[in-house]
Amino acid sequence: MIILRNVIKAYGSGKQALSGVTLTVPNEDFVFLVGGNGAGKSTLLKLLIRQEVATSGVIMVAGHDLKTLPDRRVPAFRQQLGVVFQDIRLFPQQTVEENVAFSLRVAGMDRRVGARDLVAEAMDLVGMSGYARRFPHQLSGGEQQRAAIARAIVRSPTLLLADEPTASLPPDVSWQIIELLGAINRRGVTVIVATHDRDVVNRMRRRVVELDAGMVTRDDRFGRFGTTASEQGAFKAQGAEWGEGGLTLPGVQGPNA
Amino acid sequence: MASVAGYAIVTAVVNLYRHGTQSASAIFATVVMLLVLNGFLLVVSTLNLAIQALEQKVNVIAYLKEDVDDETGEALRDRIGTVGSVVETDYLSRAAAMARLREQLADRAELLNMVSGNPLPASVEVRVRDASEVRKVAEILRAEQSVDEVTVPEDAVDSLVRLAQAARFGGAFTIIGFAGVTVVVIGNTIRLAVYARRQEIELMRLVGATDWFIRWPFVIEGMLYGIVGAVIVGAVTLLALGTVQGALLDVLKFLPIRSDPLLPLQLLVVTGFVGVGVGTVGSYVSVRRFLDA
Repeated sequence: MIILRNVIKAYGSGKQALSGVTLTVPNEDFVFLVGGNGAGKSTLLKLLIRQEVATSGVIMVAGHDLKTLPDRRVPAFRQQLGVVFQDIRLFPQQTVEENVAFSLRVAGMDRRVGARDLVAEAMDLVGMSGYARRFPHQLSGGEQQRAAIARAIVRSPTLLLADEPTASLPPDVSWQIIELLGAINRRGVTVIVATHDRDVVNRMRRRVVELDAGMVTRDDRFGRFGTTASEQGAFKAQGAEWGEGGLTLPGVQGPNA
Repeated sequence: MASVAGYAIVTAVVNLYRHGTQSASAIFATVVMLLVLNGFLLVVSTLNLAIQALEQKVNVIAYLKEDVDDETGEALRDRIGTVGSVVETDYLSRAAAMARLREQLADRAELLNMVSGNPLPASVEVRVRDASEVRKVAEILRAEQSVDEVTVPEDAVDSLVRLAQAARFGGAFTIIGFAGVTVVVIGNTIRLAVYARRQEIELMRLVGATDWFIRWPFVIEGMLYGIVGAVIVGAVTLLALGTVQGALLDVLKFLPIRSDPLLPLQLLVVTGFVGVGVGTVGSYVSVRRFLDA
């Protein structure tokens, strides 16, 4: 469960990257964070992994109050998460298998019985079984992102955060990556994806939280990338209502239900 | 803990190999700086030996009273030889002094003919370890009843004391200064190597690595730079020391300098400590900078 209450993030210049964000993400939800450049998507993800600290407000992630979480406990907190980065960020001098296993090693899980199986299972899940001995530079962009996802999920996190995971990938590969994240979500992992990719958001029809100038301007349970006013009218004609959790349709049980 | 230590060592060795260019740069810088540092040490050490040899050339001569017999003179020689700073003593009887004069003036017989009897006094000649001790030994000799007069080459002593102090301070200052430069150059090279991997460090933090989990492999890698560099420099030093030192001593062959048998050991110890120390501490400090960011 992720809870944000009136979160403000301001930088030294006084500019607010987030201006009072309030948001609840229940367990096993799948959320697209959308918005233009500078809307606050990446800042929000950085706050969620405690890469940055909010100026004010409350952020609770998996039972941790990130505002008061001591620095020494941040590594243990991050070990509960899976993170996928826009620029992929595999260790260039490690093989795919070593990259994936690194997550286990960091958490001290690499010596447990079955650790190798966990690595193999994660690589199998993302379709990278045959690439164990390859180095990142020997992989395509899509394969690299799959390897990064394997690294993110190998510790069986309850929350997976992905910042623009399909950026600079061809459309068909982007869709494969998003489908992969959907499959991971179906295994019970909460997934939050910040993206610019209109097509994948529209095809997935999952919860969409839109940010604009650091504020949540839309929170649709089964949204599209940019829901037009006419589309909203059509939803409302079917009895949909805007509530705290966004647009809800009668008879449809959303993830927040 | 053992697991983390094992991981850190294996990772450090693997990274040393995989980041070959950075490793080679850091090791190269270490080797060059340590070789130059050793060169400085060798020159300063030889200079100090030369000064020491010059200092030991200063003689304090105690001329004995006319009625002092050889037995008393020899006893004085033996007594003064036990003073800590005295390295050599010699007793010259009146007869021996005359014989030496005759030898020195062998081609000026007319001068010797003007001398009747033996007007030369017996003497005790003393050489001390360094020039600053000369006056102290002279005072001890002056206090002896059998001594008539003590001569000390005052100007030479003053000049030598100043020269020796300048050489020692200058040498120490140069060595410390250059050791500082060595530390900065090697440290900066390692910092550049770590800087090139700052994104790697940032990524490790984001996936939940603790600071020490990140730091250990870098610290050991830095230590390995130092060990490899020190081994190379140690081998080169042992192989080349005899030749280089021989050339230096050849330049100063007018002085009775013997090479310091402890010098190779001193150079190896300095090489090891500076190389491994700077490599280790340099890595620690460099990584810490990124961890604190």
